[in-house]
Amino acid sequence: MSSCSLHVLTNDDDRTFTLSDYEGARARWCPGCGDHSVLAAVEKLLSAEQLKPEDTVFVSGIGCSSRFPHYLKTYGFHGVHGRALPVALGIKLHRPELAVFVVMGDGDCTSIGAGHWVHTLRYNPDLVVLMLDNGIYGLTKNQTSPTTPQGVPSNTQPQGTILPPLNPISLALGVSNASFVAQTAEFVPAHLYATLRAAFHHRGLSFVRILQRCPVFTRGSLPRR
Amino acid sequence: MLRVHPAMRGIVTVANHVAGPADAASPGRPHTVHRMREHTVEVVSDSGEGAQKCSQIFGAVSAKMGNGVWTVEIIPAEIQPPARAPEGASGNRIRLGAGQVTNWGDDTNLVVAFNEQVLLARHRAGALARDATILLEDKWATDDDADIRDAWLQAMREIADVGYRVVTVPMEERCLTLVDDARKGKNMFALGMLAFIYQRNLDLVFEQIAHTFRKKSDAVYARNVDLVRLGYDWAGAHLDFRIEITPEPNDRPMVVMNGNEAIGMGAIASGMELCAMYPITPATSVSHYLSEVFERFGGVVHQAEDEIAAAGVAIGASYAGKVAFTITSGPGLALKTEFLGLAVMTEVPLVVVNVQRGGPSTGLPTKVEQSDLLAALFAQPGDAPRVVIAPATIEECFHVMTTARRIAEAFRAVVIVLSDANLATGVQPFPRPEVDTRWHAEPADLSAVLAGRKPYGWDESTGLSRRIVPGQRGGMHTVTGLSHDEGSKVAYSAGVHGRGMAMRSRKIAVLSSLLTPPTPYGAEEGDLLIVGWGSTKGAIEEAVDRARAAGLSVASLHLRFLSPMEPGLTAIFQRFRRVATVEINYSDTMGDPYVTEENRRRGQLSWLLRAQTLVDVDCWTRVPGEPLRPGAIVQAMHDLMPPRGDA
Amino acid sequence: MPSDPRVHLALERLAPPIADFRSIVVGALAQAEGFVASVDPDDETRVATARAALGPFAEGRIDARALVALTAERAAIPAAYRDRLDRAVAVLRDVLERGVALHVVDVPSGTSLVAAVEGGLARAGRAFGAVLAVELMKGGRYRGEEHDGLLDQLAFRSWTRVERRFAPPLVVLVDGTDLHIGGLADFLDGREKIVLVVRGACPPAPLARLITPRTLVLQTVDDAGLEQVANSADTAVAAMVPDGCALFLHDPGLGREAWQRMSIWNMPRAPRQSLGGMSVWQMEEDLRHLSALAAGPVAAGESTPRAGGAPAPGAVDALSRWLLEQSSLSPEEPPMREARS
Ligand SMILES: Cc1ncc(C[n+]2csc(CCOP(=O)(O)OP(=O)(O)O)c2C)c(N)n1
Ligand code: SF4
Repeated sequence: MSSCSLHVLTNDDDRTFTLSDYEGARARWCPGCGDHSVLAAVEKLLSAEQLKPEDTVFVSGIGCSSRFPHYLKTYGFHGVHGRALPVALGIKLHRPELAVFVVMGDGDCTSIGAGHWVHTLRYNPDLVVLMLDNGIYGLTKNQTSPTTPQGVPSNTQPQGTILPPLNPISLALGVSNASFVAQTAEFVPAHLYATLRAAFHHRGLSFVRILQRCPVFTRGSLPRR
Repeated sequence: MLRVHPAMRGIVTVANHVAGPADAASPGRPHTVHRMREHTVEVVSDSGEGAQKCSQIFGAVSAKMGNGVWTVEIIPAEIQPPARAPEGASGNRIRLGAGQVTNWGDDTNLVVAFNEQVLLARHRAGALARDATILLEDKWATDDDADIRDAWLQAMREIADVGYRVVTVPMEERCLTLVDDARKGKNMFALGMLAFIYQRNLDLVFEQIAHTFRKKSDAVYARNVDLVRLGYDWAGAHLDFRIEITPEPNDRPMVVMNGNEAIGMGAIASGMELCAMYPITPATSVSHYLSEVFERFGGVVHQAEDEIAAAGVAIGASYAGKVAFTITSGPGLALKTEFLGLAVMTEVPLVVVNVQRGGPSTGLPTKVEQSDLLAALFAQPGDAPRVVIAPATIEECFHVMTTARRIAEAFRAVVIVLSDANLATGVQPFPRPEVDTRWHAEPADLSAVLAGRKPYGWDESTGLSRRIVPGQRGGMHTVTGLSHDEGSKVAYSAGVHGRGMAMRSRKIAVLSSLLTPPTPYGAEEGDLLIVGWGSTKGAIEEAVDRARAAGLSVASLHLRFLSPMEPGLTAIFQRFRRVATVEINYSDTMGDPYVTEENRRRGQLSWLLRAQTLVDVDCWTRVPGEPLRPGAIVQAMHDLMPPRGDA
Repeated sequence: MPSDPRVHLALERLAPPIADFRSIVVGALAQAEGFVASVDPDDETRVATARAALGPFAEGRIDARALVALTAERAAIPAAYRDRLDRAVAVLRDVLERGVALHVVDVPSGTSLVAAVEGGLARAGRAFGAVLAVELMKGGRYRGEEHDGLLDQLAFRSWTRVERRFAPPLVVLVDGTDLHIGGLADFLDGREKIVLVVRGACPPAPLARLITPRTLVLQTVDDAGLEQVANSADTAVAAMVPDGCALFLHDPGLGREAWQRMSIWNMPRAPRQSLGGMSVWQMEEDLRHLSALAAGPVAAGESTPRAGGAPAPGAVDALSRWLLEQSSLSPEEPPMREARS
């Protein structure tokens, strides 16, 4: 398609980007929220890869984690709950030269957006998809999500979450044509970073589940190592 | 890029051949030639027997010979209905005229029916003129199965008193002289009979057969040609009449297509490059057409996992570059609602085509209705103003796409194009569009953003702003569905929220200021003004002509823009003693139990017009699952006429 | 254009990358013309354009003049640069008008291959310069003394990394005796595609020394393999050679090791006499180089990891194992569940 033709030629230059070139608004997550660590790792990746801020798009849904694009100085698309993936796919279809990242929460991805999740895995477009899994609905204050561990009490299931959690990894692996499925944890920075890097360099859809602490609602529900 | 202009490929171009029989020596018995201004013919069969192919070829040939044509599909609701069942009737109705034909007309004058059950279906639907000629397959009368013979007899009894002229035709028997399976041959035999009756040029018929079966072998072509000749000769030997509809001279080159093809072609001509959709009748065929040709022009059709995703993909694509579009029908529009709100909020330009069908819910999937007007305008929690346009003809289906795209872009708006099943499947010739490269969207401007420019740099007086797309250096920002200021910064204050609302709403007012007030058809003033929208234009205007000829003081007004509403309506309405809409949607009838002037639920357009103009706009609406007939509208006009002396 | 049918064959096979290059120029031209229109404040033209752009459906329904009044944004450039803008547009038009001929270079016998290729690329490269110039003007960043040169020939060495990715493919007709190949390596960057069509006698493996892990290199007599050249995501160079030369393909996509990437269909003996400037020894050397690249791994098994044993459980593995456990894909019961039960 021709919509980008000029751009690809004229946008080359000798700028170098430092971490601060990617910093957007000050992050407003709770202190100690794992999303901060993911943001730091992503900024590090962007600057290590020297991605041009104007050629990079972060697409998200709705949730605490979906605030992510606001905190970066790239292009961002903060859309509707559960539906970041179709938007990202549309961007990529029209503008394949852009680096497109998707950030979703666990409710966003595995509950309301589950259909898009399964099918976008199958379409396998070149996206880096990060699912920030705190095992709870954060933004709407403590409701059970599909990945909430069984027994964990929440505002909607105060006696303890009834069902065993959905396993995002086995589900993703079960999708034919899924090309990159990984799991890491926000509190293991080196592993997180290495995984993000590998995901970025993979051509095709890289799905990364990032275990994330939510000190406000799920303190202690993640196991100690 | 430097390719043949897209919009004109793969369509039948009509050169105006001189009408006249290709056969100098037509065989058989002497026949009377009836000269007509118009005639309506139907071919009906069990689904799978090819009546539609037969009629499509007949329609295309007639168009090529310079006749006005309007073709409507008769579609069974199921894919594989049982054989010989009234509900399985499948085929087409073709209205032929000397001049332009703008709608499907009233009654059918001639029917070719492959069995008596599908004939019954048409009879019971009230589709046939009382003096219609019926060419009916005769094999069922003597079938081995007693039940079938019985059914035949009962059917004959049912229609006996109407006054139809029934001619039985040994279609099966004749076809078996050429093919083993008559189910695969009767349609071409029928085509041959029609070619004889309407004096169609056989060379054109064969040409059209070659085109229709271009993916099949030469043997198939040859067999079909033989079957056509067989039918032609049979008709020549056994029928005593022929029909002549001399086309009015017209030297403009014409094209023939249905409304969905027109929308697909129009989308290409407008330079759009991405269509995201999820299959739904009657919208799907747009994507069938596009899937075949779009890629050649650098476009893609994305079949998404559902309508929601289709909207999301179109929005993502539009956000990042040229305007994209999504097509759907009622239930799909319902699913897209949340995303449309997002597009309005983020001012991502978007074109949504909604090919309306009967609702609510799954409703009448294959049949026409105009019940989505209010949904198109308002189905959105929160205030989400958008543009709604309704093409009224197949030609407009083609051209509306360019206008819709341009408005979406200039106003950073969601533009909903309301077509319907009647336009979608109706086939009509129209003047070949002179494609203009300026219709095409330019590639997105990706030059650096000059300092100080904001993602929503609203002009205070118009609400208009220029968008910034990814790739533009220095323009980085995050668009959001949350309330935001001109810098796209999330802000919840009353001031910011109210201002954004005002800016988005103002764009609609600005567009309205650019619109020209419409002109009534028939007369500038009078007793009754009929207001319509969408596919009913042809039928309404024909009704106006007939009613005026009968002395009624009636005119009509056809609206294309429903949001913003076309300007100047109040003034026009005041020149008529009564105003009423004619629509294919549901409304309560005064006099129905519990219905009062106050609680009456009205036709959707009349509802809107009353709200906008404070004029007491009445309505006459029907939901027959088929297009309105001009005759029925004339009748309604009589009923709607204000009593003499009523001021 | 040279009449050698192989030139036309090569152009046909290179059609996709040629189309890529041209589509960029077409897009650039459309935008440059749009910019010219926005610089020229001729309202009647604008109104006419706006009216046409709204399409026939809007005819008589939408007031195009009022729309222009509401939306027109006038761009401004210093008057001094106005003629340069026109020149940039002219360059883009010219590049387009030349058609495929732009992609053909005929090297006269006895002259320098490298200079001819450089010239050919620079001719096409003017398009890049023009695009950049327009873009700079749009952004108000055009400075005469600094940027005027952009509209002359733009030598390959000053192309940016991105431009090199969209470099115009070239078909080069050259004598076998003029194949001084070494200098070509300079142009094998980005996604450049060069197809040499060799006239007359030719050394057996002239392209052998251009093989690098990221370059697709092909010697062929006909068009076999040219499709790979056209579609390669890397740089690619091919020679259409006379019968009797080495025929091979080095395709970077086929593996990490050189031998996985090499396919050799014909391996001739070295000629007994020198050819052009090439000594017999040099030609033998090229063939030896080819064989060496194609030779498989020497002693199988030598480099395989320690037999049977799982890797020593280090810290990294412990972490991986833990993460794997979190995914519930390992046989052990996931600890997450216990945490709260
Ligand atoms: C259609 C719709 N339904 C519900 C909501 C309310 N909502 C907003 S965020 C959210 C869940 C957030 O949880 P998660 O996706 O896990 O993200 P987190 O906040 O934990 O990062 C919900 C239910 C909404 N915004 N839209
Ligand atoms: S509620 Fe939880 S997930 Fe949301 S910001 Fe606070 S800590 Fe993070």
